[in-house]
Amino acid sequence: MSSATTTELNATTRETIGKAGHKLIALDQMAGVVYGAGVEATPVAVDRHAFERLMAHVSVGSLLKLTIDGGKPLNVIIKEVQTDPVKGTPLHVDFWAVKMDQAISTVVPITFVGSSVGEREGGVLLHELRELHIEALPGDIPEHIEVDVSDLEIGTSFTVGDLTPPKGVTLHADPETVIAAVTAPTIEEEVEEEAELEEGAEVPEVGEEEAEAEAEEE
Amino acid sequence: MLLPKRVKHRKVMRGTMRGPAKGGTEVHFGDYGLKAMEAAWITNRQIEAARIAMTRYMKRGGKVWINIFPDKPVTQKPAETRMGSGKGNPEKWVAVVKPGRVMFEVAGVSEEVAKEAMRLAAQKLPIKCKFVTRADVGGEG
Repeated sequence: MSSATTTELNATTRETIGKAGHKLIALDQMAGVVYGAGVEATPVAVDRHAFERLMAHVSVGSLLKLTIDGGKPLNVIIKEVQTDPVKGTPLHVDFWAVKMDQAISTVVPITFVGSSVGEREGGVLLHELRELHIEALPGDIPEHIEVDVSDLEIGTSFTVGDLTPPKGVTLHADPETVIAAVTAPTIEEEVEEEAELEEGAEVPEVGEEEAEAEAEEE
Repeated sequence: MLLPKRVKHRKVMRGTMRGPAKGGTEVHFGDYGLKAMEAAWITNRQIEAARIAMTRYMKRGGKVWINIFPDKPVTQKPAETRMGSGKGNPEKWVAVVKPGRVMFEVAGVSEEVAKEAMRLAAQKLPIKCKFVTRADVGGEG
């Protein structure tokens, strides 16, 4: 488990708001907003390429130092990133300004380490949970929480209760929630006969079945 | 083959497929996904063919999720029929897919295997598709 490392990003205040924010794309910039503790909601613009490079190392929920117009750096958390549904490129980012002495609730990604016993025996490792809701001081938020799955056998699972949270971190999840499980592999079965039967079948309308039953009763 | 158990109306209007997908644009269940880059009606036969192509390549490993469901009936008039006399008979079931929609997801296999399985699946579909990984979409970790 690694401790949080801070990264820096520069931003400028933005005059264009609303849909006009899309015009920033032509300037290799992207729209964002900063809000939170001690900060009035401020529309900002950040360098698109710098942000994309940053997102290769950090994720939603990570702590950053954001400098707006060369002023005093703010401690912010990446709250949300909106992406283009087709291209997957980031369109807008929410920065949440936090106080370093005030505990906050956030999500951190789970990373899986090790190769499970069940996988070596032919099972399939399923990641049921990808991120965890936690509460911690901004400085104590880990970049990710590691889950060692090497002891998992086929039919067993790793739950939130099995996890030891890092120092200063409170987990906000049901201890019985499954994080990872190893299941037996699915065997491909050929069911062509059944498929033919289904194809010819008429799909009943809602109310049709009831009408038929009533007619039979009469 | 996928088809609804029962429906409210046997025949529905065709509708439009304007704009990108509003939901289901991220990989949610597995590690890798197949994203639609165009809008189309995907029939239940195409979904089944894609699923079979994928699972056959992955053999016994991995798990597949199908995120689209063919719930729209498409009607067709018989050949050499004069126009009129009402709407045709329901002939097939389709899923309305718009650009950005993650149609299939897989987990439990390596990236190379998933990529090839998705390529084979994409060949069964009438649209351009893109292989996506969990990290590519939505900026998750």
